[in-house]
Order: sequence, then C-alpha cells, then structure tokens
Amino acid sequence: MSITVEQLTHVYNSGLAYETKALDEVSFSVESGEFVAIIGHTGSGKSTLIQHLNGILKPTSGTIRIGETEITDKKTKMVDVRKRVGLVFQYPEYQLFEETVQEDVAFGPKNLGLEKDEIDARVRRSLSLVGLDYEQFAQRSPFELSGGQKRRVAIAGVIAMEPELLILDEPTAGLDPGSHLEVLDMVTSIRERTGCTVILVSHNMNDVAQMADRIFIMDSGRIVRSGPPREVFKERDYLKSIGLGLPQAAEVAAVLEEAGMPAAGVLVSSQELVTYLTAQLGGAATQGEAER
Amino acid sequence: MIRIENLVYTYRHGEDTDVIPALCGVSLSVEKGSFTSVIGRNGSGKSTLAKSINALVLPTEGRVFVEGFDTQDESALWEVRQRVGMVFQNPDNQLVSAVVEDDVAFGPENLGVDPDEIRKRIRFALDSVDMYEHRKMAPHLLSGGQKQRIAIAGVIAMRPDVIIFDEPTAMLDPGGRQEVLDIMHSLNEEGITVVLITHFMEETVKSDRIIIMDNGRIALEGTPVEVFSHPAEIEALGLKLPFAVEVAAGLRRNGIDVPEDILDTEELTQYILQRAARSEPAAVH
Repeated sequence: MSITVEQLTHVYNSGLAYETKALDEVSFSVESGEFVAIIGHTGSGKSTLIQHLNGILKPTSGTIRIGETEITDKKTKMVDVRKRVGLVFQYPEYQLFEETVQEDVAFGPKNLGLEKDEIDARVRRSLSLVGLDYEQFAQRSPFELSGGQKRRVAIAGVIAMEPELLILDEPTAGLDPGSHLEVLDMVTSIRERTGCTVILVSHNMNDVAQMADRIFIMDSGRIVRSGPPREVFKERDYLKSIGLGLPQAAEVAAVLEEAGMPAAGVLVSSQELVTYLTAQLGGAATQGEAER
Repeated sequence: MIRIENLVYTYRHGEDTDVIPALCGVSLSVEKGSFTSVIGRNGSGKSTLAKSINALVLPTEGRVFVEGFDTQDESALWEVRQRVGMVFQNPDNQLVSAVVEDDVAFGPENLGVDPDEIRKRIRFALDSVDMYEHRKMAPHLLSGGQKQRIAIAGVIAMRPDVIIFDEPTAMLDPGGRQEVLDIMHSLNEEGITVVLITHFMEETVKSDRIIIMDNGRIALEGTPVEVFSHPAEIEALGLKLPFAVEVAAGLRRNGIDVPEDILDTEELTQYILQRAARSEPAAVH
C-alpha cells in the first residue's frame, strides 16, 4: 500500500511556553511493497511521524494519504485505516494480556467481527508467519514465554489484522543477539509472504543498511536525507554531525580510506568487509580470483 | 568485593503451581575495581543475578556476600545497599525530580546526609558524568543518553563501591550508548567496581572478564579474548561475536593470519594498516 505525506507538521503543546515542533513540513512518498527504514537520534521525530500514519496522532497541518484514503480527511473512519495499517510499538510484549497465546492473537480479528473459522485461520497463519508452532504455543500463557517469543506473539497480534502496511518501532530493542536476528528474519519473511509495505524505525545502522530499500534520515522534525542505503551512508561527516554513524563495515572502510587505502564504497556487512580486506591484503580468496 | 556461593533462586507463580528456577547454583566472585560484563540470552538469569547482589532478590539457597556482608542478614541491608548501586534500562523510570540537581540529591537526602556534604556530592556526581552544567535543567528536556547519565549521577551521589548496570543502553540511540559506555569506563578507572549486563557484544570487549549465563547457570567465562574464541558456543548460547572478531575470523578463513587478540574495530584497522604498510612493496610487484 502506498503512502503520500505532504507538508506534515505537528506541534506539541501549541501556544504554551514549551511549544515544540516535532514534525516540520515533512513530505515523502513510499511505494506499495517498499521497505523503508527511518533513522535519527532520540527526539528527531521518528515516533511522532509513524504515529501519524495510523491516525493515533492528528497533524497540526498537512495531509496523509494511505493507499486511496486520505486519512487526514475528517470524514475518514479511523477503524478502516487501522485495519490496514499495523503498528508495532516499542516493547510490544508489554501489551500482551490474554491467558493464552491463541486468545491474545485472536483479540484483534475478533474485534473486527470475523467468523470463528476465519479468526482461527488467521491466528494459525500469523503464528506461522512469526515462526511459532501453533500446536506448541497456542494454548500456552504468553507470560511464560521467553523475551523473543513474547515479542513474536505480540507482533502476531498485529499481523492477524492482515495489514497492508506494517510499521515497527525498534522491534529488536532489549533482545539478545540471537532473538534480534530472529525478529529481523521474521520481518523479512512476513514481507516476502504477504507483500506488505514495511516501515522500520531503528537505531541499528547495520540492520537498516542490509534490509531497507530506502532510508529516511530524520533530524529536528525533518527528513533531511532519503535514498538507498549505499547512498545515504556516503555522507559520513554529515551523519556524524547529527549524532548518527555508519554501519560498522562502512565505518572501518572509511577509516582505512582516510589512512590511504583504496576506497571501498559503502560496505554494509561483515562479509563485504572481509572480501574487501582479503583483496587488499592478498589473502587466499583474491589469489583465486586473480588466477581466473 | 562480591562473593556468590552456590546461588539458587526460584520464582514462584501462585501457590502450588510450577516453581521456576531463575538461577541454579551460581558461584563467582567479583574483584574490587574490576569491570565484569554479564551476557546471555533473554531469560538466562542475568538480571536476577544482578538483583541478588544488592539484596533486591534474596537467595532461595546459597549465599551472597558484599564486602563480607551477607545479603540475607537484614541488619546488614543498608551496608549492602550503600555499597552497591544499580542503574536500570529505562532512564525515565529512574528520575524522580523536576530539576537535575534535585534528582541527584534525592538519594543522599534520604540518607540524612548533611546539606554541605550533599552539595559536594552533587558537584562530584554531576562532574563524573559530565553533566554539571545541566544541573538546573528539567530531566525531561534532556536526550536519552543525558537522562541515563543523570540516573548514574544519582547512584554516584550515594558513593557506592560497586555499580551494577542492567542493560543501561538498551533504549538509547548510538550516540547515547557511546556516552554511557564512556562513563562506565571512566567510573571504573576511578576505582568503582562495574558489573555490566548487556546485549551489545561490542560493549563487553574492554571488560576484565565476561560471564555468559544460560539457563540460570554460568555457561562460559573468561577474558574477552578467551570467551570470543569460542564462536560455535557463542552462537549456541543465543549470542554473537563482536563485529571486529567476526571480521577477523573471516579473514583468517581466507588465509590472513590476524592475531587472536583483536576485539574492536580500532584494533582491527590498526592491524590492517600495519600489515598493508608491510606488504606494500609486494603489491607494487
């Protein structure tokens, strides 16, 4: 589902002494099926922006169109918007409340007034999408699961609404490295299997560089840069000036380049860095290629 | 400084339901002035272990001693709590006042410390986290990293010997994480014993010792070089190698003999540059 945002401004505490412009004339569009990541330091406006996309926050001015629906139009029913836009908050497992995993995931679809068979099918589908075995987990209490599993149940609850646009606000915060990877793989697989548009808010430059089609960089309530990862991460000094860094592989390559080694371009993964360094240092992999 | 002997802790859900063991027989000691990192997957017992050190959690079995004081000895509770400070994940849950310096004064005021001494402690604590110039500000106007530094100052004002940091950077952006990491190391250099619980492997590479918890037990422990030289175990424990260690391993597979003691990107780039300089004549030919 496509998104078109024009001149979106949001002012908190309007008219008071501590009035703050959290969003300042933000305009952008996202194509249907695209994977967009939003980065920016704390307080740059990321969370305020995504909360506008399913109508939790109302803009001070500006318009937002999700698919064919202009959600900033007063006549638009928010229920219809929220059916199509799934928002996964930070630490979503704090919102688990039912006695079983099955009931928790079914809560949303039930409220849509769906038939029991359809609800059941959706619960099975969502749990499979988040990588939890239905037979093993459906009747367990969500509270006795591990941190990573709880989070996946919470995300399944959002997926069960079958959103066309899935927004995740730092879905891996507080997870161990293994669960971190599992949740990211899960996001990739949900997108592949459902074709939904994904917006991911993250502080992890490595993740966004490897996953996103495009990155929006926010600073002081504006989108100051947008483009494919290998483009936006070219501007090392600028990113540093707004409190952001490069993916680790790109940072190492940039430091080496400054010290006189040949430019590597923007590297996004440890594998790419290993390949580049092997070539520079004359390791086995390069020799093989040179012979060819 | 801290001695833990065969510590067992079980959470009880309801009256006769299952008993869930969080710690099943942990023994370890932490030396005065050391920097110890505790890592492990979610639910492995890290936080329970941390909370047992300052008596927020009392042993089901076993003993925990802080400078010789038993945490189970109620009359020693203050001795323990005064020596062991804790910093948690979310700074917003740890700040209580509307002005930074009041927040830092909160702990010592409750101890009944003399006002002159409190003023000195505020100065010292805020200097330690490099936030003295922000002393008149409202905490909610600060960045995440700054708020966490104020929370740390509040702990420092209590003059603890040990500070336990329970995932202090989990909710911060990269800039804030670096700020807090730098502060933890500078406090350690000043003599404070640091125990850091984290999910960020990069934060542990400058520790004296790393303890890996799994299923309520210590699964692996040693210096960072020792611990991270077991990649298969690390992965099986739900963790991963620090970035530089992973790259070094990749290079070794390609026949480049990177030394085993490279742990962070700074050491890695230094090594690469030295090696590139050495092999320059060969590259020309």
